[in-house]
Amino acid sequence: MGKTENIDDILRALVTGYYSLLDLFGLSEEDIVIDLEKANEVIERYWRDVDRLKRFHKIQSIDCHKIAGYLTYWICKIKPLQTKDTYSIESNAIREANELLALIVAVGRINCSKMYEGKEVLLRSEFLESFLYTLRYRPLNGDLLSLIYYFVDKFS
Amino acid sequence: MVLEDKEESLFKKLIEVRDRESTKEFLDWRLKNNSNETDVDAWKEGIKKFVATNGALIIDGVLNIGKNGKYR
Repeated sequence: MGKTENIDDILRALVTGYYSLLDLFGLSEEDIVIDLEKANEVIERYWRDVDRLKRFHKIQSIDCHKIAGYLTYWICKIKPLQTKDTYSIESNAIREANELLALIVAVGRINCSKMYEGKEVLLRSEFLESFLYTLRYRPLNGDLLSLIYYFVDKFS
Repeated sequence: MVLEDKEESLFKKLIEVRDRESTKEFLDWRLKNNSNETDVDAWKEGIKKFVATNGALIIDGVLNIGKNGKYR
């Protein structure tokens, strides 16, 4: 690792999110595979968004909702989680794996900011179903997702 | 292999691929402009907390996507 250690945070979060997802649905790394190049591409694209905010909009440090929104957008767009043979697996998580990974990593990042206040994000079932559906089937962008996460955070 | 070892093994592979595929210019830029550096342990803890608190809801949510017909 060495000198890049301080820019490895999102990769580590993706790894934790991936294993949390597998554990939650009782799946293995053979059921859902993480594509190493795509996972890195997610982060590179996310950082290009951050670059634009810094250079063009002169924002020094973006907040947790923007981080959550941009990461969600790129995870859902690039889809780093892949499945090979789904014949013997009975789990809806297979189909929604990337959207779930995005949600877990994003809300985890918001929780990370809230933990210092002893709080955490709580979701409602109606919202969760609609949000996962929207992530998968509707056009969204990082800024709109940031706004959604802001309201989820404020009203949870 | 325990979970921590699995995570570390996957993480090292990701770093190898990143260092192989990314340009030096991009990595240097990130190192120089890393004002959003996050407490990664807190982030991991935030993920685990979210899954622990909302796990059952997430499983139900995935099962019911598109079924309630209220939102399309």
